[in-house]
Parts: sequence; structure tokens; C-alpha cells
Amino acid sequence: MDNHVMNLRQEWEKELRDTYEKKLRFTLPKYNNESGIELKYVYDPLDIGDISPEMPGQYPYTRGIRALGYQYMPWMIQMLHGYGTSEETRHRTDFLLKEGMRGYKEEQPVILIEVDPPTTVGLDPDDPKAFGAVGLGGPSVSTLEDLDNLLKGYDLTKTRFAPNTRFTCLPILAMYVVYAEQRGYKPGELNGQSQNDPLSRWITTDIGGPTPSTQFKLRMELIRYCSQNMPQWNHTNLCGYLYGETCADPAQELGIVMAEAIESIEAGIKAGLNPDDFVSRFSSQVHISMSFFEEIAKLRAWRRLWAKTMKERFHCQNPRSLQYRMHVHTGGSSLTMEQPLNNITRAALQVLASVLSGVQSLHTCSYDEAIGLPSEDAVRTAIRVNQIILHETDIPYVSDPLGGSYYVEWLTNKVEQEATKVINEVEGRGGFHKCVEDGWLRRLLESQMLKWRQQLDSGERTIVGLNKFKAEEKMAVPPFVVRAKETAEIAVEQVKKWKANRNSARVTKAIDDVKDAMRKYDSIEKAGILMPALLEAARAKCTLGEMMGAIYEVTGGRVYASEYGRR
Amino acid sequence: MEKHRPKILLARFDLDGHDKGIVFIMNALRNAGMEIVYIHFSNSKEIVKSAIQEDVDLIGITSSLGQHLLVSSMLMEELNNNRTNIPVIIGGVIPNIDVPKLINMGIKKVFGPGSTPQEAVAFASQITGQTE
Repeated sequence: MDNHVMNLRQEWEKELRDTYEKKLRFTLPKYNNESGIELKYVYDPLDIGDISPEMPGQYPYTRGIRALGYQYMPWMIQMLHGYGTSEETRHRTDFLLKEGMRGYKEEQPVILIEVDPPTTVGLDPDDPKAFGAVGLGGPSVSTLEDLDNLLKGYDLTKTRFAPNTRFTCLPILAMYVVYAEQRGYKPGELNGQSQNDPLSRWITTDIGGPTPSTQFKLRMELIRYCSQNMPQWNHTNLCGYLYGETCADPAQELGIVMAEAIESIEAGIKAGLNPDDFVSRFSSQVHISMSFFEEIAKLRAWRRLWAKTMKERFHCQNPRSLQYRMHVHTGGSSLTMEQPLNNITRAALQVLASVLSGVQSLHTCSYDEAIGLPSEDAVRTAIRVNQIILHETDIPYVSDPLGGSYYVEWLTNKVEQEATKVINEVEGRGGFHKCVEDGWLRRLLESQMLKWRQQLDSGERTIVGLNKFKAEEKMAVPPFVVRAKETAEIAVEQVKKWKANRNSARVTKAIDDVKDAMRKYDSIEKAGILMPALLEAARAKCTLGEMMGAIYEVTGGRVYASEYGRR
Repeated sequence: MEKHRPKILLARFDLDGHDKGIVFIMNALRNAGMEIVYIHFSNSKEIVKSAIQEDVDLIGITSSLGQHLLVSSMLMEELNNNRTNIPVIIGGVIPNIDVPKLINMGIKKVFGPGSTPQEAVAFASQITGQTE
């Protein structure tokens, strides 16, 4: 068999030489994908001689984490949203749910919200440092009332609540638990997720927050609390998306995220946890670019690499710890302001690649997002992309439809190998945390960004409508506008009212207790000490800004600026 | 006479996490031989203070949060209060419809999505008197 294939391959190669190179004088092109992997023009059985047979739902889960895929359960259509006031965001949530945003089942609301920058660092809207940014990119969430504006009327046992709050995930979770408690729910009934991956946000966006070691403590506290009290809650959203958006190639994205996960799991062990207690509750936000097959290979390699690492390195026994659930966020940086409707095609290709790879969940970017937040019309179209693939095509009928493709299987192996090199490099340099703190990772991302820019400017990389196939007539879609001034005024008014209607002695005591707990929390081994104080603070109606303020006060510095930004 | 080497202050406002654009611009301006002062986590007072202290020829700001009209008007007001007319350019996620408003405020040039670093270099050279 091998000899036969080898003969066919040699015949084909001869044809290339004789017909194309000699007769047609064609110079054969060279293709390297984004991760720098050199591609052949075609693949054959000899390229995948080393893959072992595998079915979906079987270790190492290259072909999917469950025996049945979309035949049993469609992917979640989760749309990250939020703008203006909490009431306006709620209006958008209701609109999206009406249009088809949902969890695995129709009756499962998913509320994946973005908040404004002050909320992500822990500033109340009335804090002078928050000026100019309140309500931009998402609502301000600083009180239980804000949470109620977002969530009233929803059955919290069915609702998947996932606020993207960067540095403030722990106090926000405390507020959510207390909010739910007041509506009669127990923490164990709640499902949703905390972002709880502040370092990735810190390095890719360069917004200051708590010191890196404080971020790490808050993160481990949250993991510990959830693993003991909230079994349905995803405690950490590993975010490859931001690396992808800052031009990390697919293998780098996977490698960096794995290195980060490895370090978190080791820290969890230090904090007294068994990996099987918390590994199954890592969730993800994976990036996807226009490199179609390479991204498919990345998503397949991701599941395999995760499964192998959890089994071989951390000796996980629970199958769920080995099954990596993936949420893909289509690439915002793939979008162009020019000829905006082209962005629908880009999103569709990215959704298609994700679905062909069997992901669990998708956020789809809207065609107008190169100029700001999406309008209702644009975001409806983004939802429709998913519904067309799900309901009009035969794509969901067969699991891992590309499994067995010589090319895709070969590429899956290659991306896994390249990502493993990245993991080894990060670990060799002292681990993820160290690579963030000493600037190595940021330098890597900046060199990737500049490479991308250079390729675009030289024309080596084509972006349709941007540096090629430009249109004479400018077609513009109207930008979605947030009423920034009014929004800020409303938020400030609301938080002032909130602060006026509470027992100030209880507030002071609760904040002192948070400070005290934070002071005593001097090593990861003491994780578990802070959350009870934050829960009590939330019950005492403390605001997010007050809770984070207490943490900043004790740990030194408020809105700590990262070093790499100072040049 | 030796040519003056243009000195440019690039700044990003508090809490705006988007810095890809400014990385591109910084690199291109440096490659064109210009001197860059970069400050982040800044507000309009700090930007103007640094610009005066550093005696820069041009201020470049970035905005991708949707706060461009507010921060630009505050920056221009602060420049006026300090009786200085250092030219200002802005880049970022800025819809075309807002360009005339920014120009009216006194911003010299707006580099919205799709602009190239070369356009910024050309404009910076021209405005700092480096174009023959």
C-alpha cells in the first residue's frame, strides 16, 4: 500500500516538473501559513501514517469532546454585548434573545456582557478617575441595583451570566452571589462564568490594574471559592482571543494559553485543590482568523493537547477534566471599515471554520464593528450567520466532517507540534507569569503586530477593500452612538443614591474586614480568606469601587501601570 | 543648516485599552527619524503639561473607546488655557461622520480605521516642516 501511494506521489511530482515547470514555465509558489508552517500543494496517506484511529467523545478528543455533536446539541449563540446604562444593556439583551441568542437550549438565556472600563478596574462611576469612560463599551456595574437592572425577571438557575470584568471578577462574583441570594438562589444553582484571566488582558491592552501578584491572588481565591461552592460556574475564561487580536499566530495563541493554564493549575494545587476539582471548569475564548484550515487544525489540536496535558501531566481522572469546551469569538481585527458588508463574509467563514471544528459556542462579530459598537441590524445579521449554517445547510449532520482529511490531520499534528514549542519556550523562560512581568511576551506580541503591519503595507498580505480591490465610492454604515454624557450622569446619580441609602457603620466595618482579609492573604496557600469578607461587603451594600479600593489600598497602588508601557 | 529632528508626543487616555494603532504609528515615526515621547494612562492636563515640558512639535492621540469627541475637546481646551498651539492629530476607531466635528475643534488631521502609518508619517513630516 505504502509503495503504491509512493508511486502515485512520485508520478504527481513528475507531472509538476514536466508540465508546469518545464512546459508551462510556471514558477511554483511557496506557501507558509500564519504559524510559519510550510505547506505542500497536496497531502496523501503517507503524510498521516502516524495518526491513531479515534472517534468523537474518545480520548484525546481531537474529533470532539462528546460522542454526538450538533446532532444532539447545537452550539451556543452567545453575543457579547453591552453599552450605555445597565437599563440600555438590558434592552439589548432582550433584543438579542428575541433574535436567537441562546445557550445550548432555546429557553436558556445567555448574558455575556461587556462592562465599561471603570468597572473593569474597580472605579465607581462617580470616581473622578472614571470620568470620560463611563458607559463606553458596556454599562457601569458597581452596585447590586445595576445587577438587578441587567437580570431582573430571569430565572437565574437557567440563565448563563458571564460578565467580562477583567480585574474585578472576584468582587463582581461576590456581588452576583449576594444578588442571587437575595432572590432566593443558592450559589450552587448558579451558572455562568467569571473572566478571571486578568494577566492576559493586562498584557494585551495595557490598562493598569492591581499588581500582578495581587491579580494572581484574586484569581486563585475565585477558583477556590467556585470549586467548593459553585460547581456549575466556569471560574476562569482562558483568553486566547486577545493574543490573536494582537497578531499572535494560531500556534502561538494555543501555546501561550496552554502555558498559562499549566501555571494556573500548578497554583491551584498549591492553594490546596486537587486538579480534578477545578480543571473541568476552565472555559475559553478562542480567537479565529482568516487562516481557515490552520484555524480548524488549531481547534482540533487544542482539544488534543489539553487532554494529553491534563492526563499525563496532572493525572486527572475525571473525563470532564480532559474535555476542553471551546467558545470562539470571531476576529474583530479581521474587519474593515471599508466596504463593511464584506465583513459578513469574513464572519461567515470564521463561523464555518469553528463549526467544522465542533466548538461549543460562538460569538460572531457584526459588520459595523470596525467603526464602533454594533447596531441592532448588524448584530441581528451576525446571529443570522449562525442560524443559516445551523438550519439551512447539511453542516451539522456529521461530526468532525474534516476528520481523516490528509491535509487537516497533518496540519493538526503540525500545529500541535508548533504550539508545544511555544509552551516549552515559555516554561523555559520561567513560566507565563514571569514572561508577562519581564516583558518578553509583550515584546513577542509587538514584533508580531509590526510584522503584520509590514506585510500589509508592502502588499504581501491582502485585505480586500483595504489594500486591494478598493472601491471608488465610499459606502458607510451609520455608526452606533452611545449617549456618553447622559449615560455617565445617570450612572453617577444612581450610585450616589445607592450610597445614601445604606447603613454607613456597616459599610465601614465591612470594608475594614476586606482590608484585614487582604492583609492576611500573603501567600497562595491562604486562599479562601478573602471571599467571605467580600460577600459580607456586598451584603452591606458596598460598591464595587469600595471593595476594589480596599484591595488596592492594602496591596499598594491603584490602577497600577505596567512597565512595558513606559518607554 | 542642520534640520531640526521632529519631536512628537504620542498619548493614550486613561482606561482605553486599544494600543495596536499607536504601536504601528510609533514604529513608523521612529523609522522616519522622528523622536517619540510616549505617555499612557494620561488625561488632557498631563498630555499638555508633558508636551510643553518636552517642547514637542506635534501631539498624536489615540481613541478607540468612543470617547474621541469628549477627550479631544478637553485636550484642545487645555491647550488654549496654556496659550499654546502645538498641532494635534488623532487616530483610532473614529467614524467618518465625526471627522468634521474634530476638525472644527482644531484637530489637524484624523486617522480613522483603514489609515496607514505612512499617511501619518507624511502628515507629521509636513506639519513639522520636514517636507522639502
